[in-house]
Amino acid sequence: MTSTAIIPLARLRERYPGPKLPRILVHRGTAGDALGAKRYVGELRDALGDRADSVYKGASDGANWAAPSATVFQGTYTRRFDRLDLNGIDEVVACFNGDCGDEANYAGTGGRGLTARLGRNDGSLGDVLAQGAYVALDRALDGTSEQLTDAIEKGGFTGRGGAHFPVAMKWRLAAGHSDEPRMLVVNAEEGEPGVFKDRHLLEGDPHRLIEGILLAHHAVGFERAYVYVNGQARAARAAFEAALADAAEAGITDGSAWDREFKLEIHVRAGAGGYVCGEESVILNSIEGERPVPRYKPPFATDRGLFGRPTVINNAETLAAVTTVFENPPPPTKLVSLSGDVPRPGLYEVSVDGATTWTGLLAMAGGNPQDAQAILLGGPSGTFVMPDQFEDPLEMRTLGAGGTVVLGADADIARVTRELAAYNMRESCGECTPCREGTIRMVDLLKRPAEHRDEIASLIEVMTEGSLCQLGGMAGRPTQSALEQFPATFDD
Amino acid sequence: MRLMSDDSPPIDLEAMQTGISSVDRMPRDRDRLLPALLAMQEALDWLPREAIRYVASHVRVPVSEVYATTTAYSELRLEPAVAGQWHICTGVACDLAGAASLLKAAPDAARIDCQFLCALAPVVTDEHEQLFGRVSADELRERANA
Repeated sequence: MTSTAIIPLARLRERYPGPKLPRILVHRGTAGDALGAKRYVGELRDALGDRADSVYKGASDGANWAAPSATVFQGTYTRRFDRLDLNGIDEVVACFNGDCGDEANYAGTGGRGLTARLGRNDGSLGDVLAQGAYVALDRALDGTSEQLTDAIEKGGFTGRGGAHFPVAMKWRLAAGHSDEPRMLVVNAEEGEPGVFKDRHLLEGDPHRLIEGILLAHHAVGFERAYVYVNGQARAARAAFEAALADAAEAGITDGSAWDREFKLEIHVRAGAGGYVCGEESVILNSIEGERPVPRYKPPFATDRGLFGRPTVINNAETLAAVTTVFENPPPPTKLVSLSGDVPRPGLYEVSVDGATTWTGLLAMAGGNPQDAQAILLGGPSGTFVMPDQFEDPLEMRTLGAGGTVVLGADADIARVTRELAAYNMRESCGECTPCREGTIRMVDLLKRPAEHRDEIASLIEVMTEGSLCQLGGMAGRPTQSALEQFPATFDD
Repeated sequence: MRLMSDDSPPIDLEAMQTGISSVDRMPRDRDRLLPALLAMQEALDWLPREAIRYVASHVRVPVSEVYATTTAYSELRLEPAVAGQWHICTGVACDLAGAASLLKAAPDAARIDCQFLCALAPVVTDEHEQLFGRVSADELRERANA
């Protein structure tokens, strides 16, 4: 036995070695497979002959525009080959054999932030351990729960599901509660049209979420964690469950890999549809087997949440983000799901450092600000970001869940607005009157909005103030924003 | 959505048995209501009245409440899905990318809300719920008629 064997992480890495290099990773996952990425695994294996076992299946790395794609890992550098449907696999094979072409196209071997390993692993524990998984947990376990929470606070981590609530504050509220046991609910419902980050995270790096859950457990101390995954996101749930089984087998989830006892049960629950199911109190009802409708607040979940216990509800991205707490400095980043009229739509991790602007975001995706009428931010609960705001810095508070659709010159704003209003009407759960009746009325008024400006304004006010949850509370935002920014569009 | 009535479609008894076996493995607690309904639907592809009754008795919740819960979830089906049905996503990104022309190309396909593959718009799903991205009208005609 080597001298490093007493170090828990070294022990784990010895037991679960990383993959051999060089290797080729085909980016499959839901996104890759929707563009036929599956066939390139077979094609590449055929082309490699007796080295066929160097071809691995990975998930999407977020660069949806490049799919179907494959990445060659050479040890000292990596290179992704895009659009295999157009470019074929010859270059991929050449790179595997050592000729990777223009060095300008090389990427580094490691990234930072919460997408560093995203889709750049084959889903095995050994692969992610070799890329730094569970390093933050290992370090946190060296210190007390207070030290971890302090580091989270200092890192400025806030909720990434849209509400932007400070993570450390939420954790302390639950940790300080005299009532035990405590519950953790992980919101991976992701039902907001235009957002696809949690699916990518769970498919492409599920161990990051497991690490985040264990960090939260170290800070707060839970009896149970429930990971609530969108019902349609089957691949995401399967990938997470597989990773969870691997982590359990390795003694990560029960703490035995560190010669400790974590005493945490982790349950995975599937949702069954409905935008409102992303609302945190709806998730509580859904898990308990009640009708999926919002609860009145107070009591707040940190006092009386799941099964009446003090409960922390964190978004999946939030818990993924806290694994970067010891990176120096912790990157204030946000996952942005970017689609619409840009050349390179996909998932982007952007710095929310006060320097990145909307123009900068567009540029990442190859978009030109002059070509955009507006950016729809936040889908059916969102607003239109106008060109005169494109030079403003991105802010965590305004980014919400990070769903952005770029509306090009030809986009019909009135049509988009009406579709969003109709969506809110269909998705209203019916529990409270302002939303149930208001969303129907809104669709009706939007048929002839020019004649009903005042009525629309007062309807939005009632829905905003009176709705039980944010589905109704924010349902009027796209309409309000469209009428303000594009008044002429609605004059028929 | 429709009320539970006596002219329900026939039930695949073998699938029902599979569903029952899955449900029987779950603790008889209320918080297994949705997992049990999902297990039944996984086996049967929809939720006949008998399945709802079985779940209700297993988790010890009144049938009326189980029914009320079932109707609140858009992905739980109280009648069989239309066989061979394709869906065309009409979310904002897919709409911008030409979902309307896909609907024209495949008039038998149904509209569906966001499928969360917005960066691959326009997106369609086939009869097995397999997703396809960046679909052109020609390609859809070809696939849907194949």
